[in-house]
Amino acid sequence: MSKVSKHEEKMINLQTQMRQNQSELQNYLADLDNWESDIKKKEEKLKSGDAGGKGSNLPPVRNTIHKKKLKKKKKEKEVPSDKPRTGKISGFDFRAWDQFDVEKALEEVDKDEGKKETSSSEYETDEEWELERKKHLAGQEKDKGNDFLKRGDIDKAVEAYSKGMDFDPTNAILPANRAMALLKQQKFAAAELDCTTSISLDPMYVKAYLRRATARSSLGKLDEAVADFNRVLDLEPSNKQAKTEIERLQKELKREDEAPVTTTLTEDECGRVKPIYKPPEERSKKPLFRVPIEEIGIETAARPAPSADQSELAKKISAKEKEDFEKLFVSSASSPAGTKIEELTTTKPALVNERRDMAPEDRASDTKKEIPGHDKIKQVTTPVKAQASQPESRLEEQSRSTSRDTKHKSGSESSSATVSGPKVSAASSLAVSSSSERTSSADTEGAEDKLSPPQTSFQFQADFKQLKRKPESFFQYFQAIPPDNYPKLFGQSIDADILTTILKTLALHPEKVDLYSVLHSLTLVKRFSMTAMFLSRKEKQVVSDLIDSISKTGQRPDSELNSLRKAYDL
Amino acid sequence: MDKPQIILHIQKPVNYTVFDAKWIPCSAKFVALGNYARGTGALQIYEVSQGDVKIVKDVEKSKAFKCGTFAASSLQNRHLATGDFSGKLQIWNLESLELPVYSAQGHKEIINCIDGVGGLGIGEGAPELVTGSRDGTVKVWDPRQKNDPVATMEPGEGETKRDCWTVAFGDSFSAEDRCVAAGYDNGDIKLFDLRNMALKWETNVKNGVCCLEFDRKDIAMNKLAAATLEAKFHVFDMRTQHPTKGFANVSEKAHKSTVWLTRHLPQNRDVFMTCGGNGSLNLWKYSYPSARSKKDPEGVEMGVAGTVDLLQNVVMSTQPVSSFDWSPDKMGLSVCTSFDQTIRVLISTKLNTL
Repeated sequence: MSKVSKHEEKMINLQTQMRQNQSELQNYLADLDNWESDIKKKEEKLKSGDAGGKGSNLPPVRNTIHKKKLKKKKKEKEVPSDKPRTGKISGFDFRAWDQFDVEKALEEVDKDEGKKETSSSEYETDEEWELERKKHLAGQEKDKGNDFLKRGDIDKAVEAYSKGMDFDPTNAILPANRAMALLKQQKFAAAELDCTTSISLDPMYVKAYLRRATARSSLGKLDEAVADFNRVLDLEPSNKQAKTEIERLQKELKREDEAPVTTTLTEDECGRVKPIYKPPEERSKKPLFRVPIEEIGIETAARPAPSADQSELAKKISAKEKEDFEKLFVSSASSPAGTKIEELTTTKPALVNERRDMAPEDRASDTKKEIPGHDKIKQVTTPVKAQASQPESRLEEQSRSTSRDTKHKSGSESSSATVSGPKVSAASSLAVSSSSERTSSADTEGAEDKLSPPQTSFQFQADFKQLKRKPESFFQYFQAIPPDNYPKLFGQSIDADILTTILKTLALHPEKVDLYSVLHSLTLVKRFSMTAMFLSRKEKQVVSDLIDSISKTGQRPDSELNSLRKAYDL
Repeated sequence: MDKPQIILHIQKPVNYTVFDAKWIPCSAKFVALGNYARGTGALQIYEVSQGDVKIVKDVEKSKAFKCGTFAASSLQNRHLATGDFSGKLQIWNLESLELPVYSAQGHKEIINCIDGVGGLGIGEGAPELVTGSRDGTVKVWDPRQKNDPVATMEPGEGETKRDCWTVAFGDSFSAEDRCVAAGYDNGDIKLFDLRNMALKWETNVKNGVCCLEFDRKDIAMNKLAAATLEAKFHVFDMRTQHPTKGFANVSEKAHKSTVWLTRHLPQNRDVFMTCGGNGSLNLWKYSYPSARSKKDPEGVEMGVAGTVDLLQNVVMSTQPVSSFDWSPDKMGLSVCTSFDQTIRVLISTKLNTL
């Protein structure tokens, strides 16, 4: 009974629950339908923009530069700071309230709100912040660039400045600094451009003018450079650099006005001489003049020496060129190439010495005639001296070789005197000729510690490079080497170039040396036969002439000479 | 007797794998995101109307969508932020879906999860999005800043990169305060304080963390629910942090399968739904203890966890439930998707009596 009633009770409960749930669901569904239509209306409203309440004062974007946040906060504070001063009246200050003009206050509030809407729109301030951020970054790049520049890492400095310019193209300092770096890299045109950019951004920026002037003077735009320096003086009348530079440039300008007289002269002969007059500053001068002149030297000096194997036409041309250059260098007489050629053509090296000593003065006196004023001469003469300093070493070498000769003349003349005049050197060369037959290995050995002794093949190579265009001095140099040393000196093989030079040198004065021992010793050099194989017909002719000359003296038996001929592949 | 009922209202089969469904705020519509078998992305908008769902919009995009949120958009715009399989973060204007209004290559690999704050009037401060990816990084984005995240949380040099499965915003009770919780495949839970840009707390719950959710984003951290593999979920009381023990938590077994999701009821923060890998839905209620904190022997405050009670358990599908979303506008209305390629609109009754 009770069980049944329990069971029934459970069933009833379940049924009521199900019914309840069902009705609940039905209610919910009906509610849902209503909600659907309600929400649709709400959505329509939202779309039409009636449902406002959009948060207008959003905080800034996170983790952008700290500066930005500070700025924002300041702005927020500024607005309310005005209000309390004017508006706030204590609730108990009834007198004040009596005087309080509500309408006016309301108007003010309206005004403020209007301002807010127009001026502090989120986007605008954001953009402002972005600009501020970029500027900050640009500043950082500038500092980086300055550091690099200090450390001498110019490439990186240029990179940093360029980055900074990307960040903030309105900053005048960045292009000016990059120009500084470019100046150091000697990229003058780019530097000039950067300076122009900088000046266009800030026409009062003195450094930009200074740097542009430097760039322009280096580019040879002297007039514009002077104009820039003048601008600097306008802005900063006490600028010393500008003053001195203007002085210097104006002199240069004057000189250039008169210079054409001399330059055109040389230009007719050869345009390459021109750079000598151009460089106004020490650093840019050397590379400018050294390169072209060396080229000239190689061409002309190489030709007269191997003229033996040249065709007649080539000989004529080279002879003519030689003449031209002699003319040229007699007129300008300032370049080391000039001295080289003179060494080639004049057989008395000491004379060259004299010439050289004369040369700067000649030039100076030339210019003196043209330009009055002492400073000018200094400017003209200094570059010449700078140029002269280079061949000095070569000359020394040469004087050494002459002094060497006099040495084994057992002190008939003092060696120090040889350098001073042509007379002495002439005497020495005479002495050489007379002593040629007597040269023995012992003699030369004694002399060897005096001259740059070609003890190693490296040393010989170096000396050879210097001397190969001066047959005379090379002859003297070569003569001093004991023939027994050849195999050691030439090492693994004798260069064809060296061999031909030696042969030609020997042909100059066959009577001065022990031809047989020299020629024989040469064949003892390793892989000589290989080099001999490559001798040209004319070179072989030179050798055979030499051997013939030996046979004429009759000092050597024919069998030896024949074996020598064989060795030279004749 | 007075148990809430979970009733299947509408069922809609689709021809793609649905990964996420979200109610469009202030409407009876929801958007479904997924990928077609050919690897393209599906973005569909449905409207619930008279016991049925009508498709409103249907677009196909080049990359498959994994997740989406409206939480960083204003109520007026209702822009949908999505994360896709190629690691791209995009924001769409649902009125014109041809081109995204914002696009950034946020991650190198798939974006597993996305959350937003600051929009819809929920939470203070700037609208921000957070994305978690398989590449191990968690990135915070501000839709006003193009291309670059405003904050990035990534493993340090030499640390192994863990797959980030879930992210959640919380603690956004003032303009500056904000926290991001991130859960990883190795069971790590990390809490990043965005105000101080520092790691606030981390723990490991042993099993991979599938889902993290604060009960509310716009209040000081209250509760954090974490769903994990191995049929377990945890509820942390986030009010009191002990210097060594961290936050107190209660853990509960559920679903006999992976717990994929926990979703708090927008209208009642102590009620939440968990979704299982076996296609089941569990409705839970959290009960606070009599005192939420106590002093440990050294006199330092420590939290006390409450208890959770199962209110309802229903099985909807044979496949895992991939997403579940309560309607923010209508209490009891929800949408859930599962890997059986079906979208379901559910009704839960009697929630107001709890």
